[in-house]
Amino acid sequence: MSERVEHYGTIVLYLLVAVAIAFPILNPIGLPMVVSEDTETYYKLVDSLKPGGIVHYGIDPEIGGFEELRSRMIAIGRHLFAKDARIVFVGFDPNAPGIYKMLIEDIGVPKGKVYGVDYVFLGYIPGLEIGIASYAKDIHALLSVDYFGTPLKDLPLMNEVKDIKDFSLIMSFSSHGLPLNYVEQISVPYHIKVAVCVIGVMAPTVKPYYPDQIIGFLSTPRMGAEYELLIRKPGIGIADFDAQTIAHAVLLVFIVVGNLTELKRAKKR
Amino acid sequence: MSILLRTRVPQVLTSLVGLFLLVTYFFELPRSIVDVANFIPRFCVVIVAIAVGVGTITLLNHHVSLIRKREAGQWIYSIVMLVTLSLFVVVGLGMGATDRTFSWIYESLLVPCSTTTYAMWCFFIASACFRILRVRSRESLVLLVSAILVMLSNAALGELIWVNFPLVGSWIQTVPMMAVFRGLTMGVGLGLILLGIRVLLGREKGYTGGT
Amino acid sequence: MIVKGRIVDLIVLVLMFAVTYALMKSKWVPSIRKISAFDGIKEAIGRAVEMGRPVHMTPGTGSLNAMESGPGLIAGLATIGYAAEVCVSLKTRFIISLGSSDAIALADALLRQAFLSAGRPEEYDASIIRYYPGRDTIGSSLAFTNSVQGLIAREKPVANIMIGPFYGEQIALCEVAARQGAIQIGGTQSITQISIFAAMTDYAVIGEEIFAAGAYVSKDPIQLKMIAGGDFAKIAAVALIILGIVLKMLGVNLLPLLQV
Repeated sequence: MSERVEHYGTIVLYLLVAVAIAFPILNPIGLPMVVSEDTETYYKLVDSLKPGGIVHYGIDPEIGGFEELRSRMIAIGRHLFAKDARIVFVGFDPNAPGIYKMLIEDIGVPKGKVYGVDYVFLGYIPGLEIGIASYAKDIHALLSVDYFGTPLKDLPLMNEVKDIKDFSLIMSFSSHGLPLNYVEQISVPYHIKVAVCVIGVMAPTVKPYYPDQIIGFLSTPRMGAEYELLIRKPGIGIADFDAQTIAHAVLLVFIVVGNLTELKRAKKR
Repeated sequence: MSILLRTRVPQVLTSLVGLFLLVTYFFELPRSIVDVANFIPRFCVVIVAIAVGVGTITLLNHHVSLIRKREAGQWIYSIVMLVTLSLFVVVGLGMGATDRTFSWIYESLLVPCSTTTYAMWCFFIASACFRILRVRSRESLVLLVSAILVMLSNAALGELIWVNFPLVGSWIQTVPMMAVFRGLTMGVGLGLILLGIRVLLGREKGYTGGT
Repeated sequence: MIVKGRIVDLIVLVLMFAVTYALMKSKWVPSIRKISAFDGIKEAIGRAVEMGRPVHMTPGTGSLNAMESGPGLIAGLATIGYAAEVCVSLKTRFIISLGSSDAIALADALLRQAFLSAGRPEEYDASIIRYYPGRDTIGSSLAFTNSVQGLIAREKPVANIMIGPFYGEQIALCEVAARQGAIQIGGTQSITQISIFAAMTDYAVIGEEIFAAGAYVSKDPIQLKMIAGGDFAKIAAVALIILGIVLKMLGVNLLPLLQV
């Protein structure tokens, strides 16, 4: 009997998880949530930016990680544009150019914002730590053109940014260890704190540096939903949160079933 | 190639370069020497780029041999792989990575495939939870309880049961988990230094063969 | 003379060198406690010989260049080298899958050495090594994960050895291998991924244990002494932590001194 539960249980589990995730994404429910302290801290960080402040927006996830970070990246991008911040998009992961294209469409650049004046995209900078260190030291020595081939001297925004000290806020959105490289190459040598968004599994690695080297920290898809609530622009984060909740409920039921099976097996022995 | 060339020469080279980089890191030296030290990591980037080429050749070798042998259940996928590889290389080199066609291929092929594979992990984790989160010992009970508490705190379920559930999950992640991770980080950090010392002294033979 | 802010780092490094060198020169040969994962490698390969099915091994993904994956990759290759030597000596089929292009040359050298040590260099076969593009090439290990999943499902290995840098790929690989009934031995230095190995494999190598692989399998006295040197460093670290806590409680702040 318990072997049958094991075998068919896995198949039923897969089907139920698929339905549990698909249904709320197609029909968001809007389950209640309490906004956490970490999300509020990050929100206040962005909200306190002065109009015209220049922000480094690090597009550092891989494709799979981007899907988990997407709601947070979009919400924070929209918040930055709403605060009239000027954004330098750049990535230290090879997927940055592809992700930028999708991201900028999702964020939706507000009318009146001009490329080169209000935002630029510098493309992918290889070398991981070496790339970050070189970028922090002197951007113009590292790059002469942006991703689209426009010389940096022809971009008014880039004439105001020489090195990492010219930014009002440094942000990294990553699905692997790049935030730690930011801490090593930016926070420690230049004493500038960094705001990071990471995927859930990276949180324990990065959290020890919060709040001394990391000033803002978002680590779960739930925080994307919370940020959307704070900026009053509900989006995919809310749907993701609903899907996560229902999928968790299904998993908990199966964990109980699995333990009951185990108990029965133990009694037989 | 003799054993001397295969093992000793790489070890000596590694030790010399490693020591040179350490000295330039810790001591204030003339600009010309520091420039050499800054240049060496760029060599690594070039070597990695060349290694990618070597990897591509190995990949092509393997898949071409599968196609030649008409390996059952495999050779069709090898053809698909080779066609896709060629498409990316030809379009990328010919039209440039910023070209719309290249972007379209990237968004139509790589992004959906990567996202789908990443999404599949959800099912693997679900079946792993079903298999593993069972009380078989004291340690597995601790694992089960903490996993359930963190799951409840991340989803709305916890708040529906008790409004302070997110704080419980947050405490687990901030206090005991952080303590363990800090200990592990320090241990791994010291292990890394030790491995570096072994490599510099030429005592780490694992990467040159001959354990 | 010494760069500002790095004096204490240099002192610590020199002390570690000195202690390690002194241990190397001493007559004392320490013994390492049993690491069941490395003993499990021989057991798993023995099972492969009995069942006539292959062994699958991988040192993970990542680049030798990156600090987060380079040392783990070296440690993983050391373990793979040992496992390959055992497989060759017991004449059992094995497959090495690589997710890192810069490890190809190293893995090839290890493979040649394994056949050479067994006295059968003519049996060397380059197709034992399968390279699948990983993190260092395309910034994502999904191609590697999918390919190795397919490999495991087709080849049905009886042992699955995964030691090195991993970034979540092991979830899928462990699950597929578990369905084949394979013995699984896994380990990584990546702190966030250790828990997955601990939960999903039969034998897990946790944290810095993977760096002891070379010393453990070779039983080289010099390498064993170096492991002991690392342990002394950890004891010193714990003592400093306790001292720091006591001083902090007494209101003494040594942090500016340590940042000299």
